[in-house]
Amino acid sequence: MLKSLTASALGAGLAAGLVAAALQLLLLVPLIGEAELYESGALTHFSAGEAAPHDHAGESDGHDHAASDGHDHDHAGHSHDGASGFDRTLLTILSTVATYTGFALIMVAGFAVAEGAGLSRITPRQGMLWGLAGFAATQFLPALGLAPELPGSGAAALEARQTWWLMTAALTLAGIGLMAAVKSPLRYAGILLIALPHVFGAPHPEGYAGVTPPELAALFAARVLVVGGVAWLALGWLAGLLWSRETAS
Amino acid sequence: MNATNTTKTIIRAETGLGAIAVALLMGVALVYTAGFANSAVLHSAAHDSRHAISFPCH
Repeated sequence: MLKSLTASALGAGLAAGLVAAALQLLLLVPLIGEAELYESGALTHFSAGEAAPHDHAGESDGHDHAASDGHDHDHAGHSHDGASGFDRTLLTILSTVATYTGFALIMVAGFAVAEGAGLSRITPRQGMLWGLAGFAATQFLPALGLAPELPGSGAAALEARQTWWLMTAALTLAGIGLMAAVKSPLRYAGILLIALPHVFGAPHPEGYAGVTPPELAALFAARVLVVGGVAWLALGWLAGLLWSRETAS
Repeated sequence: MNATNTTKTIIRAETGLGAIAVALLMGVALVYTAGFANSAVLHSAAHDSRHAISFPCH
């Protein structure tokens, strides 16, 4: 049992984690690098009179320029993260694979419970639905209260946000589980569980004092949700595929 | 016969539940370490992936 669980979770976590990391490095990490230039003050947003018109004059030029600046800056020893270049890329891949492997272990534990309780037989297609549930619990619904944030964004205290995030993820999973597993009208209590953290409300800062341009932050937030959705679908499909093969014999 | 079957079922259920609990705990520990632990080293290592997965960071 433990072998089936770990084998399917490790396989799915590794493969989906690599897909997620590739998309992150292509679509998200360049925006993080650019935002760090604003965070460190190497670039300023509207604070100097000339910066804004200059940026608006040639948007694509300005963008390319900022991106290549980011690269140089990292090599020059921008110490925000203590790592740069290749090391930083490798650490991002490793931690993304670790995170998705963690998600996969939790998901296959759910598969085993659902099959053990006779609720459903897991197929790759079923796995994709579980992937959507995972996406809803970890990214989609938390985004209603806390937008995916770039470095240099203003935000409330970290512990408060982490607590709200964990509560939202747990209640969303419980709510989805209740709606999927229970046949009686009690299932609609699941909607209440999902809504609860949003009624309660996410912690927000007193005012908005972030130094990162809102255009950059908006693009980042949108891309995070797309990348997360794709990665979670891949994770669910792969976990369902590997789990159904592991338990078929 | 019945008793043996029952015992077998219980044992199977118990090892099953144990394995499920182990997988669940490992999963939560991995997600917590990569996404939430406040250690400076872990934060630095996982910085970009925390932002990219939209965990609260900083």
